[in-house]
Order: sequence, then C-alpha cells, then structure tokens
Amino acid sequence: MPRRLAFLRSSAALAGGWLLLVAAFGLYSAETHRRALEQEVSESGRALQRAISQRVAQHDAHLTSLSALGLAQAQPSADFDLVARSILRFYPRIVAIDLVRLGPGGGVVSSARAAGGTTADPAAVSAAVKNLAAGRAVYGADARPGHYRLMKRMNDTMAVSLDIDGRGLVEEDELPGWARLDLSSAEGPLLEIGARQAAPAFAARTVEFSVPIASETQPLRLSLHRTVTLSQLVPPLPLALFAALSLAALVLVRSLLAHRREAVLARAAAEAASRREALRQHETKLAHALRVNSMGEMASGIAHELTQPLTALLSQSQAGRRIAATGGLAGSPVDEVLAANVLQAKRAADILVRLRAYVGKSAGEAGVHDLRTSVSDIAALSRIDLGRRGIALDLDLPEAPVAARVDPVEIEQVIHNLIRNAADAVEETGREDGRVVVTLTRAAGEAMITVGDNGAGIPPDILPRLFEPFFSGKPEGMGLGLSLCESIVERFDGGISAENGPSGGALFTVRLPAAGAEAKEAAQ
Amino acid sequence: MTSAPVYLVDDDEAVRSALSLLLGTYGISIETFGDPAAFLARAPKLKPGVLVLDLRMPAITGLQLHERLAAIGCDWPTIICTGHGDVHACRRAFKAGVVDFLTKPIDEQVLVEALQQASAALDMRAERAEAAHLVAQLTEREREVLDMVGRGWSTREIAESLHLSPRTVDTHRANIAQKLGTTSVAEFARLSLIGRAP
Repeated sequence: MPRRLAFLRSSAALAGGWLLLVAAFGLYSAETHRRALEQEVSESGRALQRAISQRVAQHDAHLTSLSALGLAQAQPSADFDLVARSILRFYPRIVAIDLVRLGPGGGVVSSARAAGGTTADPAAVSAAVKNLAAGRAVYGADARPGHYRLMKRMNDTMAVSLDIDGRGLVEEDELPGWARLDLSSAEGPLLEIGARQAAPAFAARTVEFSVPIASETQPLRLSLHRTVTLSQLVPPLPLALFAALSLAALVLVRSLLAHRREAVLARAAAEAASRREALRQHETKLAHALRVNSMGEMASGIAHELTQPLTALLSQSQAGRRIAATGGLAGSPVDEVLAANVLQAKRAADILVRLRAYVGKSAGEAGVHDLRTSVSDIAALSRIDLGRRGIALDLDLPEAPVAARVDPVEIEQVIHNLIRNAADAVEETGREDGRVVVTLTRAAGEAMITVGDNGAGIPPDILPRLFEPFFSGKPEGMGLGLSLCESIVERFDGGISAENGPSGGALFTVRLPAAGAEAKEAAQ
Repeated sequence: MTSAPVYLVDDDEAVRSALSLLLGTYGISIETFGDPAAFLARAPKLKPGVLVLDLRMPAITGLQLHERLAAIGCDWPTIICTGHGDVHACRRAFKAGVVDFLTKPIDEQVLVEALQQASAALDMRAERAEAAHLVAQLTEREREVLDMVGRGWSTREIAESLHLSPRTVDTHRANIAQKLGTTSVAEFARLSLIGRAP
C-alpha cells in the first residue's frame, strides 16, 4: 500500500508539473501574441492616421483656393462653381461647398452639392466663424452621422463652408478586416466604421490604439480597436501540441526514472540475494565440516573410550601369561586362553587404528589466513541466529591482520561452537541483556580469540572435564562440541582453555601460534 | 632389569592396575597415580624415575604435565601414551623432549623396550650429572689439561701447548686423578666428554 500511495503521489506531482508547464506556455504565448497584436494595431493606426491627416490637409488646401476665388469675385461666378464642382467630383467625401455671406442680411451666395450634401445654414456659419480672424477655419459638428463642416472666414462678410462626409476619409481597402475605427472630435463621436464585434466572446479583450489627426482645423482623434479572443492570444493548436508533447516527455522521463529506480532496486535485491546466498553457502560448508568433524570426533571419542579397557585387557592378558610361565604353566590351556585374549585385543586395536586413520582423512588443509576474516565471517553468520534470540554479539577486532596457519573452515567451526555455547548459556539465565563478546588479539607470537558471555558461568565441578568427549553440561548434548574444538585447535598447534570471567560468565580462550613471519615470507 | 622406578599417571584405574600388574612381572618397580595434580605435588619428593603419562586426562594433558614437571626440576625421561594416535600430538611431544610416544593399547614388548631405553637415558643422565659434578671440582687449568689428555695428547705436547714444564703438567694430572678418583686415560676421556658443563 505505501508503494501504491507513493505511486499516486508521484502521479499527482506529474500532473501538477504538467499543468504548470502548460500554464507557463499559455502565459508566454498570450504575452507574445498580445505584443504582436498591439504592434499590428498600432502600425495600422499610424498608417491610417497618416492617410487621414493628408486628406484633412487637402480640405484646408481646397478652402484656401476656394476662398481666393471667392475673394476675387465678390459676386457669384461661374468660376467658383466650376472649381467647386470639380472638387466635388474628385473628392467624393466633400459633398457640399457653399459660399456664404455673413451677417443678418446674409445668405448662401453660391452652392454646389453632391448626393447626400446639404447647403449650409448661413446663420450657423456666421455664428461659427464670428470670432475668427480672416483666413482662419473652424471645425463644425453636424447633425448627420459621419458629417462635419469646415468653415473658413474669407473677410468680414464672406465665408466658405465644406460639408464633409467623414466616411470618405478612410478608403475601404485601408481598413484591416479586424479593425474598428472611431473618429471623434471634442464635440463628440464623428463616425465609427469597420468590424463590429457583436457579442464579446469568452475572455475576449480589446486592443486599442488612439492618436490625434495632425490638423489644426480639424481636431479629430483616431481610435483603432481590435477585439482579441482567447483563442487568438493562445492559439489552441500549438497549446494542444505543446501540452501533448510535454505530457509525453514528462511521462517518458518519469518512466525512465521509474525504470532506473526499478533497476537500482533490482540490483540491490540481486546483491542482497547474492549476499544471502554467499552466507548460506558458508553456512552449508560449515555445517558440512561440522558433520564430518563431529563424526570424526565421535569416532575418535569412541576409539578413546574403547582404548582404555582394551589397554587393560591386553596388558592384563600379557601379565597373566607371564605369571603362568613363572608357575610353569607356559603352553597350558590357561596360557592358550590368555594368548587368544592377547590376539583378540590386538585385533580390536587394529580396528581402532583403521577407524582413526579413516577419521584422520577428514582433516582440512592448513594455510596462512587472517583470523580477522574468519572471526568476522562467523560473527556475521551467528548474528542472525543470536539476533532472533535477542542476544547481542559484540565483536572486537584489531586493525592489523592476525595471521595464523589454520584451516579457516575448521577454525570458524570452533568459534561458531563457542558462540553457540555462549548463546545457550545466556539464554538459560533468561536475562534481557544477553551478550556474547568475541575478541581477537595478537600478543607475543600468539593469536588469541576469546568468546565470553554474561551467562551463569561454568560450575567448578564441570570445569576440569569440559573438553572430554561424551561429557556434556547440557542434558541433550552429545558432549562432542568442545572436545571437537580442542581437537581442531590442537591440530593447528594451539590450545583452548575455559574459565569463568570476572563478571561471572564463561570465558573461552583459543590460542594459536601467530604466523606473522610465515605470512611475510608468503607475501615476498 | 631396570633399577629406575616407573611412575605411571593415567586417569583410568583399569589401565593403571593392568600395567602395574604387567610391569610387576618384569620386576619393574612401578608407582601409579590417577590424578596428575596429585602427582605434580608429590614428584619433587620422589626418586628420579621414568614417567609414563597418558596424553588425555581431565584438566591437564600428559604433555602439559611433562612441561610442568620439567619446570620444577623433574625433567625425567617421559613416555607419552595416547589412545588417539594423533600424529600432531606426537610431533609436539617429541619437540617437547619426550623420549617415546606409544599408542594404546600398548604391547608389552614395545612398552618394556621403551622403558629400558628411558631407563638407560636416566642412567646416562645420572652418570652425566656425576661426571659434571666431578669435573666441576677441577680448576680451570686442570680442566684444560683433562681435555688434552682426553684427546690423547702426551704430557710433553700438553706442556708445549700450555707453555708449562712437563713436571707441572704431571702435577696437574696427579691432582686430576685424585679428584676424579681414577688414573685411567680412558676414564679421563669419558669424563671430559660427558662431564663438560652443558
């Protein structure tokens, strides 16, 4: 379950990370698109402003030439009309041109109109230009949508008025499809053309560009609007593409990581398994050696036990024959019986010799080994069992190697036996702080291994017979363990002893001749 | 046949009684001990003899007993008996100066021969001790003269070698003869050989 939770957690993290990535991409995309759109709107706005400014400047130019004509001919003339009509024809946005006499008795002197144009109201014109100096023009709002008037005072009595249809200021192909254009004056909006966004779409916003038209006489302001939808700011296809790719990449990375983690876990598991296997093999080897050695020890124990009565039997029979001979009974039936006894005792002895020879074959090969390896190996093995039984195992090894000429498997068997005995002794007391301490030291040409415990110690009456074969302190014991330890240690010219430690527990000491010099020779 | 007493230390009573019965028939004086520690305590008061020690005994092995006896001056010829026939223990036993190593059960012939050899070794040792005792009574110069006589040199040769007058050498020889209790040149040679301080 915890593994499953971890997996979910990691999935949530993945999803969170992915959403963050997509959001960042969205923001970035929106920002760049917004800038690009603003740029486009302002560029279009500036182009339009230039075009409109040129066109309104043309109005000023027409006014100037018309007023010049009007001044030259105070009376209505064919020339003025001609010019006015040609202006109307070439500049369709100018829909009416009026020459107006100012003042109370004034009126329209001359008027030219195109379709949609209206003749100026002389009173309104008089009012508009009342405060102007001669030669100045003024903007006038008009009631009709999109129209305005431009009026110029020629002198004290005359003025020219243009009726301008503002829609003509922008040509159709000049306005981008997306744009909505506003022209307004101080009096209010003049006209509004272009795309009309009926209902604002979801999350839509408007990009706006506003600039005054460069004209003294026609103080107009141009505004260009563009409604931008979310899909324009964040185009869905690239976003979807990015989302898909980043998700795929994240999933890929995650699965790679997962694979790597799995590989690491698998390797660790394999290493642990091989360590366990090595330990198990070691255990098997040790158990095998123990069986073989135990059998040998048993056989040699039996041989020893049988040897004693056999010795008595043989010696007594031989003594009997000599006694018989002194009594003149040599060759008598009694002598013959005793001779047969001697023969059978020797036969039994031969069998024991063969048995010992057979057992002797199992002796392992001795070589120079670092006892630290043996001690730590066997401690690692024993620690498993002792750990299960709640007994601590302390190990004290020196820094430097402690070499001795031994068969490592057999020496391990000795230490193993001693540790097991110690653990049994500790367990018998039932104490909570059970502890077995194994030390290895080297001093005065000797390697010394001690195995101590905090059990009840060895009863004094048992102590002298501890290493005897078939003598056991345990009810179910065969009495071969320590006897075997002694045999093995003696095989390598060492000795083993037992005592009760200062704290009361048993303390076994194995001494082996150190092989420092030999080891050095071997190294050379 | 052998004058030295035999001391048998073996924890098995049957073995002790059987061997003492057998050796008794050979007229060998034998004393047996079941407890190595008890024997160790008594040994200094005993007459020098041949030791027959069982290798495997509780608390202390035959070899250890041998070493401890040697340590308290009872470095008598020792025969180790074992039921194990352990080559290793055998090797160590000989290294430790044991004269023989026998495998149980022991055939009487083998045992008696081993005892005779051990006894001879003991006699030899006694002889050597006596010779050493005699030689130790000589002065430095007398010992030099004894060595040369032992090598078969004539009085004249000795006198030349030591830058002495032949008369002085003769005086030394007379003193030596008196101290060693013999005038035999052969005996001089023997004493000079075995009586030299070890």
